[in-house]
Amino acid sequence: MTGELYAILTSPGAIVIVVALLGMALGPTARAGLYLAGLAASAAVLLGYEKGLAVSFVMLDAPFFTIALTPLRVDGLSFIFALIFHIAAALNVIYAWRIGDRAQDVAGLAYAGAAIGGALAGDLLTLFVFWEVSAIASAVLVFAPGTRESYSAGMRYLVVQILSGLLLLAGLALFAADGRGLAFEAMSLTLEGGGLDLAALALFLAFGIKAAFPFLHNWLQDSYPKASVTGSVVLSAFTTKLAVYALARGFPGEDPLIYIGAAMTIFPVFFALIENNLRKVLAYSLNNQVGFMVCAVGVGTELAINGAAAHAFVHIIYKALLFMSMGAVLYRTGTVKATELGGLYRTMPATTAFCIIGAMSISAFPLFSGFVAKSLTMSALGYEGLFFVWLALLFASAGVLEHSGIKIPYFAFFGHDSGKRPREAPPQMLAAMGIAAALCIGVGVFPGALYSILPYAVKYEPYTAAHVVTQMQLLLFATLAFALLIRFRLYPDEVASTNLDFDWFYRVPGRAFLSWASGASRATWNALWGIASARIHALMARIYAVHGPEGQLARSWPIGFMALWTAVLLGFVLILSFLA
Amino acid sequence: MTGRKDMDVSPPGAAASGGAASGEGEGPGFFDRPGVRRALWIILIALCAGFGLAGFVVDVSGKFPVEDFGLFYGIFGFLVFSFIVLAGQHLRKILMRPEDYYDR
Repeated sequence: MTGELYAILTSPGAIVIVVALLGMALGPTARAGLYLAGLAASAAVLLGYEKGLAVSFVMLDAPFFTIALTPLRVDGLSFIFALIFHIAAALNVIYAWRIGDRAQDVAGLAYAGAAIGGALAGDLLTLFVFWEVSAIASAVLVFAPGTRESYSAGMRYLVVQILSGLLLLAGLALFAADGRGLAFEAMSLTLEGGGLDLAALALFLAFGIKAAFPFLHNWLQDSYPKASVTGSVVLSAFTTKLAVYALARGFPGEDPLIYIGAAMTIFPVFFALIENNLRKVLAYSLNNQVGFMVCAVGVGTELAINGAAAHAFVHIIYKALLFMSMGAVLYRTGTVKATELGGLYRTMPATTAFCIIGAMSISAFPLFSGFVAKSLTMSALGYEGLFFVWLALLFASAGVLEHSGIKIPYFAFFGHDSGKRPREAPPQMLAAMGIAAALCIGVGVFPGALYSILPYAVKYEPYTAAHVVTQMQLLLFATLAFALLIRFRLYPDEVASTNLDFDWFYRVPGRAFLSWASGASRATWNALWGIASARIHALMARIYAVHGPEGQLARSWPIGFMALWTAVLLGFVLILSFLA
Repeated sequence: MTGRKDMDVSPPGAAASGGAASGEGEGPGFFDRPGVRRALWIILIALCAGFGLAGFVVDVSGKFPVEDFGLFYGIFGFLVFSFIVLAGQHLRKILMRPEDYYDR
């Protein structure tokens, strides 16, 4: 037990969370140094583990109830997610160095530690603990700007995240109650007899909320754009990808995921087109990208799971890069609204270049990281003969080019000149963006390194002539369409607006209903209380009238009282003797 | 909003925070020069033509019959992009509200 406890306390998730808390006592530079050293140490521990390691112990061994936990499990799937979470956390530390906000730095790294711990959790109870830590730590980042809108968004975010946690808790409780143990392994939504497995369904929905399934997605577009400059960069990496990991672990090959994922890739494309806030465009884009991963998990073959893991890995880097570039724009101009931006390439050339590298990576141009990852998923769909799903994802690929490949860099850095001439981003931000950009290109040019850490052994060549030609055709002709639409003024102007999405249902009618329900319940309570208190007052007044100082019975109080009780007792004895 | 501590919007050379400098009085930016724009058009069209032709030279057949056509991806990309932009903007008629819609 002592050995197991030691292994758990020195596991990467625990190290990172402890380091995050230690940083609370330090100044910005020392904190950043400590955090980078802590992440390096934690990554070294992770890299030192042998694949297949699982540290388990029995937490409770009662006659009818045994709880066995596996807080640390390292295999191909958990390793790649834990590793990329380390890389993302390090990028975040460098990026946030300049701003040096204590609360955000501590919460951001604790959040990363929770994601790492969650990915390495081998049982549902450990997963639940890290799931909740990640929810609470990440909420700090949404609250951080301290504005009224970020406060409201933070409260909505917290409610949704805690709901996901409660569903996870319900699922694991049902598992334990069924005597199925708490091990976090692959499961199915359908029972062997054909019925619906409620325990698995609760877990599926818990994961689905964090993965931002359609209709459960708005917490993401609501909160991420309202977080701080650094907060949205941190947020973009962990929650949704931990959910992708949980789905890949718990529900590989679950058919509904194919169609849920396909829907996720498509609908955000249209919302991103009409959105004016460029960080919200990136939030829709994130939703669309997670759709590719969810779809791959639903296919569930080794190639597809590799595709989901590879996509998560590269996505975390290029999405962080895109959020970082928009964060730099926000930092220097005070806005990320397309209507207020344009022409920034003149004074922010490095940020522009890094943003374009992120945009080309997410669009999956050959030699960039998105290409080598997305190809795996598309090929997996081909092997399974899922034509319409493949077509949907191809449609979404052109959509990605529209909103993340072109719209983000075009409206921020080119397009209509806003007249703004901000300074280039600070060196720390440029360094983080530079490293992320180098990783995007490095993985794209040398995919072998990424392929070597995928969950399953892979023999896949992304750079075939056919792959390169077809992908370049898709992207170049779509770019030509964009150029022509701009040339002939058919591309819609950006408009300062709020666009309704599914959250309207709970933010307007849902809120009105809740207000009405709380008003109605208050009125009902007041009415019932009024009736009850009137009756009680009347009764008391009557008793007072009879027994009070001026009452009839009070005139001969002791005699009257005795007579009353004698009569009661006599009646009682009579009834008893009659019954006997 | 610009008063937030996590932002620094001072323009180049300015000592104190304030609005970003405007670009009045300077020449057109590099990408606004007509020659550069023309060159970008030429490069884009040349690349489209090159990869379009390559589709008929290289064996691009895949898992599905539609992929056998050498220009399938190009046409699909062009049409889908145009559809997303031309059709998607009409969503505004249903979904667009004033910017402060949720704050009122």
